[in-house]
Amino acid sequence: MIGQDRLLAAARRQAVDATPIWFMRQAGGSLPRYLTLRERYSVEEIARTPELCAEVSLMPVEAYGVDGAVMFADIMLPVAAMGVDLELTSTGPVIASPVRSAADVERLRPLDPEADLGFMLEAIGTVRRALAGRAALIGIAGGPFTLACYLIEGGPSRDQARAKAFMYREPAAWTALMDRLTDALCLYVAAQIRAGAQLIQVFDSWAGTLGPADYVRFAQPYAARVLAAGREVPTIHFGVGTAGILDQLAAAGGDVIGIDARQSLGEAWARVGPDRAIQGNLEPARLLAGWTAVEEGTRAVLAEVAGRPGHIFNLGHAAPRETDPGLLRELVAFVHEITSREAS
Amino acid sequence: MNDRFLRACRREPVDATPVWFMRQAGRSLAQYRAIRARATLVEITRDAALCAEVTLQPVRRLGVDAAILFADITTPLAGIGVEVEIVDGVGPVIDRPIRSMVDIDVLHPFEPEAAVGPLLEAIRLVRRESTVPLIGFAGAPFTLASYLVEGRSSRDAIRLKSLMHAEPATFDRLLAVLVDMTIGYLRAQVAAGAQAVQLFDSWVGTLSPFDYERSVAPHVRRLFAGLDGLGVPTIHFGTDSAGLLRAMADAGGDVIGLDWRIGLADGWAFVPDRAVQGNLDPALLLGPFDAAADQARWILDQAAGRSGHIFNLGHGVLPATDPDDLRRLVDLVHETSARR
Repeated sequence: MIGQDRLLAAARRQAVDATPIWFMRQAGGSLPRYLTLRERYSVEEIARTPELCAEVSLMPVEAYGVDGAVMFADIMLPVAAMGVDLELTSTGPVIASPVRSAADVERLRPLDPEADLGFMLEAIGTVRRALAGRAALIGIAGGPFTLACYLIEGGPSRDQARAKAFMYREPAAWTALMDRLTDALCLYVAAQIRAGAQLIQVFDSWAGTLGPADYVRFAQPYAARVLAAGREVPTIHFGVGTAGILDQLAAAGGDVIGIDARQSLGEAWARVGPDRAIQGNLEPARLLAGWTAVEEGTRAVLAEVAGRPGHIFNLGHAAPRETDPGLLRELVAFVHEITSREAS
Repeated sequence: MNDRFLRACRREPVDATPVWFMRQAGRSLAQYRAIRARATLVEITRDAALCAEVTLQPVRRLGVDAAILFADITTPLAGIGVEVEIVDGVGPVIDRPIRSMVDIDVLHPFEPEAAVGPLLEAIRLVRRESTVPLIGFAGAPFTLASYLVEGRSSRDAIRLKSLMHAEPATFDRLLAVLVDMTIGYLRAQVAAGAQAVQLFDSWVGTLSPFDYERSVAPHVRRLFAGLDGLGVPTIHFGTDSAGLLRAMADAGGDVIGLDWRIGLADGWAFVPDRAVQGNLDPALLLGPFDAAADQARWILDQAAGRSGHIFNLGHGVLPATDPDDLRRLVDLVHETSARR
């Protein structure tokens, strides 16, 4: 099987010759060619220049042999296009004027993906042609709740207390904000699919800071709309720290549910049910400890899967930036080899 | 003496659900801020009278059913030779983090009276005055190790986890030292009068269940075993622990603390043979009180009158919280849960 077919088949819970694998934040990191590019261009310049963005997105396919090529893009790109002044830093996006009122929400303008994010759509087309099936092209979108957190907090936050206070105190402004973000994300997802994306992953990174009741009320309906906008292709729904809200997260949608490293993959799969595929969930910190630690963790993940169809191997979260590229290459080969023996 | 907290810890019937709040003594109280204007956190923990006063403030102001000793989880570390600075807005900072076996070898054994004498005296003072039980507390070994190795709070504890995977012998030695210290620290608190103890594992939620069970749980199990025979209930709390609850309960604790990121009934179903504590999202108290009240009632509905529920927040009180809202929440929990 070629990589593209392997990943798409697993997302649909069909039989595969080996477990497909890709890594969140695989584009970039510490690949030497990427580091060379970064000496000349900022992250933002790379993301906004179709040739550079395409080149960086393709690198992991050649360097590691992954089955998925995720676009080198930040989840905040559509938000910037809605008129928000933001800077992408190594610790996350920083917003010059965070959203603090209903009037701030009103200032967010609607997204026109072709006009505002044409550079990304062009890069998607280039990557899709260059891949020629070696890997499936994965487009990404942030979950509306996660984007709202960044917009209100103005920067990284552990507990999202300010965003939640806004949500509780100003329910009408919250709804307006979430509707605007969701409208934009739905258009962005559809445009990525038209441009050539073969799967869509929705990163609702901060959904796990909500309790189940608040998730259902304040985040779930919007995530569900974004996932529905991607229904022409398989969708992957991922959040961090979601062990306590997994039922509710899965209910929002996603053909594949992304599981972080903080829960057992087997237990998580039992909860979301056999009608979903599952993605995950090697502890990323093992990548900093060398091959023995990586192999042990990988075997533990595969043991929980126990050969069931519908598993996409990934890390539980993004790869640490300083990860040795050689280790990722070894991991891809190992997962392919060990699971192809199981399959035959 | 109001004993509903201790009865609930033992899963005995109570007249109303007991309630207290993690970090109830702290910045949300004007009385606390007044003291902090003239003393640092470390100075408070080294002055028995001040420490007792700060511990008792929320009992008077909020009407909670338990007091918790005012200290930082890093407070005992000076007693084994680690210099910790508490920086406002940052938390504990350790100038010379632990990176090797040599760094661990220079740590010395913990002598409770020498290390935390004023804190133990504060426990005696509180017991003389308090109308509610006093909870002693300590940080769990993985969480303490994360400060020692990372040098400060870290969202993913990645350096500590790397040490755990790459140099397990060093990791085990460090956790063993911290467990020895913590057993001595908590036993001394109980000897001085603490009537229950809570172990806080603030950063345990960064671990996978596989790693927790293999690399951390044995240390936590030894810690709880070291408290056997004291005759006080133990509370085991971690944040972001929804995926770890069974494993944490296996390691120990009469009461399992739940953070807010899991429904109380779902969390309790993982640990049906224990009491549970929790679990209102502290951020709800930054909004209108009605929203917090609705969720508090939902939590009590999930407890459904079962014996063994202690109401608490899912994490510490946020500094911007209005103490009047905390007081109303205490009353609401008592009134809603009153058994006739």
